[in-house]
Amino acid sequence: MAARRLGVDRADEEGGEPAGARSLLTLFRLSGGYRVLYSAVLFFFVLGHGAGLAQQALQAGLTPEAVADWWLGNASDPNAERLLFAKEPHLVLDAVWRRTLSGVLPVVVTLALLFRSSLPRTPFRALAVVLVATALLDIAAPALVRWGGRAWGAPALAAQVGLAASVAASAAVCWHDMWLRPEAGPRFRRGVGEAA
Amino acid sequence: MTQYFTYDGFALHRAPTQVKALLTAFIAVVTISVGVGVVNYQVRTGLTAPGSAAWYRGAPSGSGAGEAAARTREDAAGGPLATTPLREKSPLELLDATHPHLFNQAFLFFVLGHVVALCAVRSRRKMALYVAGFLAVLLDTASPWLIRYVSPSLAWLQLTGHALMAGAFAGMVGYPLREMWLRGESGQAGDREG
Repeated sequence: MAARRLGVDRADEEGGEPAGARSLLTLFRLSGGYRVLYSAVLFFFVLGHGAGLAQQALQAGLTPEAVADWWLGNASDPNAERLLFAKEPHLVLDAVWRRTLSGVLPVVVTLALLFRSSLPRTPFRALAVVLVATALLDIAAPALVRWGGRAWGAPALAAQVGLAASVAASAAVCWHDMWLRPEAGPRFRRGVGEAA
Repeated sequence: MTQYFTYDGFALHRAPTQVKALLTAFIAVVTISVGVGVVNYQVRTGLTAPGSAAWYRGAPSGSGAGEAAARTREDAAGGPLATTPLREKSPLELLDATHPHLFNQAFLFFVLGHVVALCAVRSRRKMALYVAGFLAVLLDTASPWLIRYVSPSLAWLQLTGHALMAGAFAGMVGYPLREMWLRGESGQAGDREG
């Protein structure tokens, strides 16, 4: 029982290695304040990605062709409902720059929190790979479409949708650990190896 | 930051000087950035309910509400052009602000919350700061949409969000600064749990 209270779920899976500082900071054993912090930031990350999808939908649409049109323009399309011009290189680079700076931090935070969840090793790794891969592709997407051609429209859209979905899935896992997991219990008291 | 939690006897006021310097520099820069944000709102809405309503719902030039938030642009020679009448904001224009705010404001309070968590402040007060901060973010991102698409009378909601955010921010920078620079060794050891 004492070993279990030291948050050894992953340790059990890994063959019973001693619980260290990392395993003591699992989500379900956090104090109320940290749960509020982590739950709230994940909530806004999920909302933010949803807003990003809504933004894309309103800008040009949520189809690979629409994504390509946004960066490459659609002046040659006689059936286009709204005329779009190819984005200037500095605007494309501006988009990539912004995504690099502000898009990476939510992914890092989400990954860090996911790491502290009780998700088993294999699903954790799979979700982490999807999270990082979609984030990298989403960051590079404007440049890929602008200079790589319309064929990158589908991967760009898939990256944006995939990133939003993986952040939402990660958030759901973390929320479950913090609030719904049966072992989610008393606060962890600093300096004491066991939950109170 | 949570790993500091496991260091026996860690207290922010006893942290190494370089840690204090780093946190203080961070707090100083975000204070400036929040200040710029306040100026942004003041220029656009006048930080008034009529100004907010006019900014998001539009107002013709010369109207009382519109003048509170009307912008005047200068031409190339530096002379003022006609005051720009405000027009209603489109969903895309609202999203252009909502999208980054959701990430950046939440992340700001997330980081500040971790710093506050290391302070010797009662847990309830910390929790109140966290809840206030994130509630303010919610109000700040939702209120433009409510003003634009529900009713201009909800502009007070945005002002409430501003005030709440200012209060939460002041607490989240004030407590760490007090802890680091004004609390001596003999300071009361409070509740250092998050």
